Amino acid sequence: MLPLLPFQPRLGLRLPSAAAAASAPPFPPRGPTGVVSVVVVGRARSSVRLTGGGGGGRRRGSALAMASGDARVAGIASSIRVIPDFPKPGIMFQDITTLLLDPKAFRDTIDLFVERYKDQGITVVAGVEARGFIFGPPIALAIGAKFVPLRKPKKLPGEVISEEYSLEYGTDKIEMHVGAVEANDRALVVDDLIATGGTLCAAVKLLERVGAKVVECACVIELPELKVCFASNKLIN
Amino acid sequence: MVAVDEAPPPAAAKEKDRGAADPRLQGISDAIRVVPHFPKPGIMFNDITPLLLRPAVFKDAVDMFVERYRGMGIAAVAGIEARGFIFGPAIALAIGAKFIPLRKPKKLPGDVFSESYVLEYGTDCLEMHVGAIEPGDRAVVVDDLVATGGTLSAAIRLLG
Repeated sequence: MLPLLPFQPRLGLRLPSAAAAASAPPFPPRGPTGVVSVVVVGRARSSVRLTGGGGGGRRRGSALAMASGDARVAGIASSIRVIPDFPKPGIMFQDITTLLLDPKAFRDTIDLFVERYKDQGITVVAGVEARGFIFGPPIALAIGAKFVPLRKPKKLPGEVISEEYSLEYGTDKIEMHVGAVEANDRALVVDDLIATGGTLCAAVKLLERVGAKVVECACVIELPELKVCFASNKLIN
Repeated sequence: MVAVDEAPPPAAAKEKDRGAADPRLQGISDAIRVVPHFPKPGIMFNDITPLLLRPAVFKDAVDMFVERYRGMGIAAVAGIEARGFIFGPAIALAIGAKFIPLRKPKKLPGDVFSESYVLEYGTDCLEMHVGAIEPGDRAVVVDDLVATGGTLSAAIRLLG
């Protein structure tokens, strides 16, 4: 097994600074927030392809493929099922429910994340509704961090803060409880999949608005259309 | 066809009348917040999110279920969207069972079974993937809260 890379974000997602920071108290300048994934979906075919990052047809500076030489990754990748034309024609949907039916693959997925984060002083794991609720809590429990659900509007009772983000057509919103995350919390954002990065960017903004440091975003799957949701529209290596 | 065991309701509510209560129950009970008039006037909403903010208490809650179900040959833990997704997978992982998400309509891709159930006004529907559960599988259903039991009953019918 290849040693895990030393912990530093290889990819920077530089977040839009002006709007989000305008109403926030002064914090240390934000550095770029990295995204990692276990499985990277190949561009040429719909089947899952493992990559060590860069090379071949892959765009440089894509999300770091975590532990790509690890023997567990192949089993995880092969447990994910692709459903064509869901939720609409032309979309090849990466279905993690088959991974969840394989206790070893599920265990290995969690272990990979736990090994990466257990010594990073993470105090909060934020999971994006709903599939982030499946992967986030086991990670949080294993590393002794709080778990914070980031939810669709009107699901969380009591006082919330919300962040809007763009969809292909229109906008959506995610919400977080006021007081769940505190200034100087070190946060990890978890979801099953990153596509354009829009939802994750909104999650990062929410956490940063309350003064947390988002250490990284962790996803099981990365799609090749990973874009950037920030002003400069550049990936920073 | 499928043996289904309903997960016990929040432990504090059920256990406090018994003799020597598990010392973990107090912390779990204290970590649940009641939010009045949510989602509508008159409803006292039991909010588990503060429990999730206390790692030791969250762990205790999961451990209590794991201790109950480990060694019972449970093949599958089915969690009800969305708060059942927070508790179910950790239990499944600890006892070596598969995790099956039971979801609102149109969320699961591919072939699904569907079961409708009655709400105060109208009906709702729960779905499960075809093939997730196999005949003879011993299953546990997990959710954060049971009220009327309508959703849990639908889950049991889905699995059976």
